[in-house]
Amino acid sequence: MKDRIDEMKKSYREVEVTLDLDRVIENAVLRGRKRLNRNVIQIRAAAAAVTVLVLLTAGINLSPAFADTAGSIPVLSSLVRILQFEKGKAAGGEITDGKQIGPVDWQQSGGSENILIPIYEEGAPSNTAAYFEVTYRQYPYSLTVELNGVRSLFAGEELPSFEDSTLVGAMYRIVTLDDSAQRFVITFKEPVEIEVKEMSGPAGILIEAKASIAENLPPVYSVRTASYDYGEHPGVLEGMLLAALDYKVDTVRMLRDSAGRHFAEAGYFLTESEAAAFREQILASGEVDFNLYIEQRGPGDTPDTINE
Amino acid sequence: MDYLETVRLASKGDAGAFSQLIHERKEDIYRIAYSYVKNREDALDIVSETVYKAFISVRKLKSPEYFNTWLTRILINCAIDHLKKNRRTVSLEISAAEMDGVDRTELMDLYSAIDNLEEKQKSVVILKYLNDLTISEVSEILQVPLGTVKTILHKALRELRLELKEEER
Repeated sequence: MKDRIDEMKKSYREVEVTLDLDRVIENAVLRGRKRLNRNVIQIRAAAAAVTVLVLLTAGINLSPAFADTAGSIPVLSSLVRILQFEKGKAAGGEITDGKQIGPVDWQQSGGSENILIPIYEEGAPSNTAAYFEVTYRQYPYSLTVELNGVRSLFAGEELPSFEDSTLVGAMYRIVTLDDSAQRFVITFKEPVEIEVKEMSGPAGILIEAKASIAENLPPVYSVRTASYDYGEHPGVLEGMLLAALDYKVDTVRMLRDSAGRHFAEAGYFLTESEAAAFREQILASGEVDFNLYIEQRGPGDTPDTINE
Repeated sequence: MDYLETVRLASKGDAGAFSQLIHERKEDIYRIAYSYVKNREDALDIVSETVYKAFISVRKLKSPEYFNTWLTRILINCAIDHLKKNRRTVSLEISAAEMDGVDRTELMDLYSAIDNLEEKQKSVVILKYLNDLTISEVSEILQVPLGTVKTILHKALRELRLELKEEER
């Protein structure tokens, strides 16, 4: 009996590990990532009816006519799709890996401003875009762009400064504790109508913004962390906030403050008492070991720096 | 970065860290899966399901030091589910190279006898004998007391001996 088991063990150790194993593992991880993204969207939709969290997304332009006024970036690509926003969020591209972000371009044209995020692969323009999600929010007016399967910026860390921009306040990277994803936030100085296009051959994400009618929105009370220099730490805090909320809300986001430091925001509310209750809920979860602050902020205000 | 830090990052949603952990154990994962189904395609299906389930639930992992135990538990559950869903004769896809120098008939008999064990017994035998895990590690993975693992193993070996003797007659 022992001999037979030893023989079986030997045979088992010699089982050839198929070359397909890596592909199967990567596909399974991608499938998992897609599932988690879908979960968040579904949970958000279900929670929208009952949550007291403020999710105002009036600045999204869904009109196809907007495309006709598109600006002047000389895009030679073909239009794959104009993204349809639902509750401030839209997605495009294909699930893939090993892409890069090319040199980000920005131009003004009449009343609109256009930002092109080219997608590269092995140092050259890629034919298809990596899977990406864009989320428009207020407080401040901002568009968060998350690209999956994108591991670096081809052009280093350089992003346009937007010094001469009428609409765009800044574009900055936010820390992502996932070396196969990159995230950016584009902030706007005033309410904007936004249209996002997925381009191919060469691939890119074209973001077109134009001024919108000023909104008379009330201030909100943001539940957030203190400010930190760009790095892993604010990303870890973001993860802990997500864990504290059991990954059931998608109000958690990363932002940069008026001093260029970074923080994680758990969500924002119309009243201070609601914000305080939310803060207590998070602190009581046992998942966070840091302080949370409540900051009052207008729809276009850049967040303040808060020191620990 | 050390192992526990990588697990912590993975549990906070870092797909790169998660992939690294999986790749470090991919051969073990594949071989355990293979030992349940004994063919490449089904083994890959089990690996795929295991990695997928682990990825979407890694955030719930409370203790990083138990990552491997936790992953193996998912793997075994996936393998058993796969066998239940695909109730059919398991094809023995052992290559000649894999069986070089081994009495093929005897080996087939043993594989067949292990297949006939009930689920827990099969898992204990596979983990203990094919993967060289200790009784204590098997106990943690299967979440059954140490004494129970010993009892299961004892019964499994008795049944294997009985079955193999019958085949020899």
